[in-house]
Amino acid sequence: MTKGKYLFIAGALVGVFILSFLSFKIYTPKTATIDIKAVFNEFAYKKELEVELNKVKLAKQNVIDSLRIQLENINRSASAKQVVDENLVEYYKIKREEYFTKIEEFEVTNAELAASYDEKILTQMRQYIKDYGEENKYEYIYGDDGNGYISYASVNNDITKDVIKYINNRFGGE
Amino acid sequence: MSKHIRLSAMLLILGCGLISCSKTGGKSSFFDSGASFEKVDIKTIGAENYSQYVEDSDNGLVITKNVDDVMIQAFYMPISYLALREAETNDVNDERYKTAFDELINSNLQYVTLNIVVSSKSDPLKHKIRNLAEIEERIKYYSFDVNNDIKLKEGEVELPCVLHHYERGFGLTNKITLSLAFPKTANEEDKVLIFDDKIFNKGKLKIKFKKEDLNVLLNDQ
Repeated sequence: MTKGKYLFIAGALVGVFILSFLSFKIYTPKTATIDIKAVFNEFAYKKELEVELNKVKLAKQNVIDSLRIQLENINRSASAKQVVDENLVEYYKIKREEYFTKIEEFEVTNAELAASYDEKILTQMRQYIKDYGEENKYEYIYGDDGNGYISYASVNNDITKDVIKYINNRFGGE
Repeated sequence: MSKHIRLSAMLLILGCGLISCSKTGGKSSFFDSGASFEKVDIKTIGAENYSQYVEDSDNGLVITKNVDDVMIQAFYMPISYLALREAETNDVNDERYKTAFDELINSNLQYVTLNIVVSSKSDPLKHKIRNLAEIEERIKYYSFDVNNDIKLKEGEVELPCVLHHYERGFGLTNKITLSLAFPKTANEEDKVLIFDDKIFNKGKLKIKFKKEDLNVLLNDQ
């Protein structure tokens, strides 16, 4: 074989290599996975609203505790009397009703508030993950929630930490 | 012939280089012209260039944020820019401009305009309402109460919105425009506008004006 032929074959091989590399680059969609629970738990807005929700719950719990103490006091006063005090019994019944109504009311409002907070957190989180994907030219970012929908993902493709950093910056106004 | 081809190739490369350079520059045109300004001074660059600079979203004073179907845009308005608008002039030597500027400086306030737009481009007052009474509730909220849900954070200090004005659109505009004023401080930190959206339930939305973008304006924040 002549030198020219060797050069031709070598050139062709390099060409094939470059073409396959380029086609891989062009046709392979850029994908990654994130641990969706970790992203949610580390999202600064989630942490902020969690503190706010706990404050609201605590304030309501104080109202419940105060009503319970009142009930216990009335009960104690009624038990200490020799004769049944009908007025006190009636008052106890009213207070007991109020106590259970408040518990029910607070459970409902707490659940509504938590749902409203969740909606705000998830709306912003989804938007920022979408923005991250667009800015970094991802075609898919799969959310692994640990329920088995993603059976395997390479650690190299896990962008959880980057996404957490990004969404917290975005929430901060960047 | 080959000389011509080489020359054309060089010109092409140079052209591409110039295009890419002009795209990478963050600041607006007169910053890319070769002259380097450390400060943007209305008296040096003229009122029209100044307005253009301030309104250019590349210069960090007009910032947009999208969350789901809602877009908010905040515009940090320097005093000189506001004075030009109030005096309705483009002449910094005009007495009306000087008067407006002095009044604004003495107010000791800093000003931000906030626009709220919904993605359907429809009237935000009617966006996803359940009944007509909600329109009135929204108008009342934006007219009287929205300032309680807006703050300007400088470092660790949260400044209240001390004045606000809701520009009524009367169905003719597809945005809600709020003019906001906050106390002026000597703080040279980043300024973060915090808007807690209660109407569209998007929660706390923050927009950051970077100190380097603000400090470039000469004696003018």
